[in-house]
Amino acid sequence: MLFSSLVFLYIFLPVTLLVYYVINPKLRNSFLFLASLIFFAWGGVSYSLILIISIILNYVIGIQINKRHRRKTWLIAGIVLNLAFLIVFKYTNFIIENVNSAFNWLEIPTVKNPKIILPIGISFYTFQSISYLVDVFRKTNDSQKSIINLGLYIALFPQLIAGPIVRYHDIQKQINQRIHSVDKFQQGIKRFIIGFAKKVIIANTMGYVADQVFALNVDSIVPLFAWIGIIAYSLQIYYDFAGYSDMAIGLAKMFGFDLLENFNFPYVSKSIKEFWRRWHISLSSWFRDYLYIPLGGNRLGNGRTILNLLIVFFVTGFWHGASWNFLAWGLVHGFFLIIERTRFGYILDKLPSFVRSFYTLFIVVMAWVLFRAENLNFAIEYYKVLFSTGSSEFDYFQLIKILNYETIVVFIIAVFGAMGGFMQIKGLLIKLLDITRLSVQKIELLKDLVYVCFMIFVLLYGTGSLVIDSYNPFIYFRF
Amino acid sequence: MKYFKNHIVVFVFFLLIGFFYINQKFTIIKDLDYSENKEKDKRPEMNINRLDYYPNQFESYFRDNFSLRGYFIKYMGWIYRHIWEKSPKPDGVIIGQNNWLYNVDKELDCFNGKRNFNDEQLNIVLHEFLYRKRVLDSMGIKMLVVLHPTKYAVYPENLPPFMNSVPKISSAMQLMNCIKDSSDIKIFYSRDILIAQKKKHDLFYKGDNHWNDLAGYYVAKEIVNQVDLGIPEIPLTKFCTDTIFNSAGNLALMMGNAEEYAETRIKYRLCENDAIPFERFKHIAPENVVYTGEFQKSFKSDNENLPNAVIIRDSFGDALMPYLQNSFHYSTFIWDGWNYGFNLEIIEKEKPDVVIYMILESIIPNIYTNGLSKNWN
Repeated sequence: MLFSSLVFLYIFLPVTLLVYYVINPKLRNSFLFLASLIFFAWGGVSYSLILIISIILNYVIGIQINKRHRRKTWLIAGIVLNLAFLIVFKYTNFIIENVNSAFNWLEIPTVKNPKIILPIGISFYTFQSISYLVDVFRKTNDSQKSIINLGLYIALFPQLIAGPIVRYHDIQKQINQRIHSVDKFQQGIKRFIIGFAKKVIIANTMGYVADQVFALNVDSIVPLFAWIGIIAYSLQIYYDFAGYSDMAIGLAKMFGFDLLENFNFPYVSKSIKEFWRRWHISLSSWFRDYLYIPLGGNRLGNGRTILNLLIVFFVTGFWHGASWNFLAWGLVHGFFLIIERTRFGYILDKLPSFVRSFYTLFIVVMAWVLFRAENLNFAIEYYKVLFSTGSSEFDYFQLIKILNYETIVVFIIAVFGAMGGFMQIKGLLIKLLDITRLSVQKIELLKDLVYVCFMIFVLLYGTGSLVIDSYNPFIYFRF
Repeated sequence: MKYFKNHIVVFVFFLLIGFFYINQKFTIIKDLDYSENKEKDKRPEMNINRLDYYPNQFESYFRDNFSLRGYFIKYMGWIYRHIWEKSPKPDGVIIGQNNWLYNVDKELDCFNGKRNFNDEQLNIVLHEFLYRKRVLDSMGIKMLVVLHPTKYAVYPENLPPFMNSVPKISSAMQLMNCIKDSSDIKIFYSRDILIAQKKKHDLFYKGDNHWNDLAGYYVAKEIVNQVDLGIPEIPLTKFCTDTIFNSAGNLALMMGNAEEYAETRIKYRLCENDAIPFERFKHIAPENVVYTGEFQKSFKSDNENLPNAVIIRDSFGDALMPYLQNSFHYSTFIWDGWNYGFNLEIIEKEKPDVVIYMILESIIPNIYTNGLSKNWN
């Protein structure tokens, strides 16, 4: 189930919130776990079994790791099992396709591809499960005694499908005891609505533009369209993902949980290194804590640091998707992260701020081509179009679809927001309000009234967009 | 104060997320009337053996029956049109100048020459019509092929500024040139007649991709002339008109706020109409035909001296019916789901004097994909 779907917004969420706050507080975790399973099953009933099996296995292995004997063996078994799930369901098709390509080349009979459908959220809950086992092994936490509570950690619906990836030690206490308050609840609402606006109003609009361009035959894309397409995609992916994280954080707050931030204006970064401190923070922290540091981090000399970074970004690329594109995307980031550790990084630091920003944005946006393209060939051809003088003839019909008042206004808002513009405005408004002689309570009330108007607008506009998308007018109504 | 302000946000949030479901159940506010090109999905039954399908079916049902859906469609349409100044269905409707709406589906590509035949396809379609002509000749039946233009071809000047308004060679022109050059099949492209008349009259609805009854009159008159069976011409003065105010066309409906594009429709009917619906033979619609109710429309006029006709048509044929049904003794109009097939079985039963194929230019490629006879070659 998607947060930005009518069923979630108008059935699942109100019912879940209502029951959660009405029932005996002791039953809240059990109910939330059940609700999370229903939420997950909505995206593929059969795949719920994988999630349930994963929870049971991690519960049993966690208890074994907590015992004194053969702890490392159990940890390795746990990690291997979790990764085996991920590899089977996410990478089998990719592996077989490539093996078959090699077999074809060698003129050996090919293997039948089972065409396994990727279960939603598997990359996220696999990493959370590994985090749990490692934390128990490191004695950061004891193993979870209640399978319901462990299930809730792995499957908690706000973060189940697209993160943030919650590390067990960050949330363990909240599972057993968390604060519910009206203040926290309304903070959650605000955050959820902001996320919903990012997703439905900005990401979907930019996504439409990017889809129009990337759906074209690469031969018929003119440079202007190519640039519009990739910039729109850069904004789409940020607002889609950051919006989803905002919604997850907001929803979690409504149920009393405090999740860690996942994005911090990544497009204002002045280096790729900084970008990864601001982009998908929960993933980069996970890789830092559970892969980069165990590999030795930067403690074993320059050569080993470079190798460790390459490994981390190789895995980061593949984690995002089973295709060579994602691998290339990860390695591009890894490459620039490595060269920023050389003299290039020293020179970069001396350059004016806008040059560093431009350099970072340029690398990030260029790398998104690899992320968005269907395959490497398309990506290469797309790069050629981007940097060609190309034909200036374009289809006006396509142009009005991708460049109109809506896309231009949303684009300006998106760029302004991504650069932290709204935070600056918020700061200015607060200063202005301070100058007025209104009481703190009145200022707070004024802010909330503005916020309520914003919430009504966003929910109604977002709902309207979802409804109108499915509107199918009667073309031949006269008959 | 803090207590109040915290509660106002929470209260409004619950009101918003709870209201639509409650309204769907108890109809506190009644929805607007609106029509769609599908039946609303019914609530799916939960079948334990097909659980994987249930969520999608339920989502579809919930979306189709979402409370106040009509209002959302109307006001989102308004926002798109007046704030964003764009079509709410950019892949479906182009907003031209002076509120002229154009249908995108197939018609834009046709206008831009992107739905043309290659040489092989053109040759196959030519041979299909040669085959039909041969068979009809052997039965003593005349054949006429009429290619109808889209709104783009007749009114390109109302397309948005900067958009190509010069028609490219379309599949209609390709087919007409090919048939004229290679055979004695009678064929004409009705665009030329309409272009000659458009300075005097509006011939297409602004909010619809179809032409109006007046266009139908001029094209039908030319068809009867081309059939060359001595059918008397019916002057326009013999037609009476009915005026329908505030009628929204199919494209206006796609815009969501149909009344803004509502226009007056003038329906033409023969003042002394003597044609009545009459089915000498009942023809069964094939399974792949969408509008089965439109598959067959048969008429009989009193004048037994008039010839009989079988007319293969599409939705554009509607405007021609008042004229044509009074120009033949027995006339049978067949809408075979845009296949424009031979329909030999129907012809063999009806034994008409003439068979007329009326084909919309944007859908001509369907003849190649769906309308070929088994024995065409």
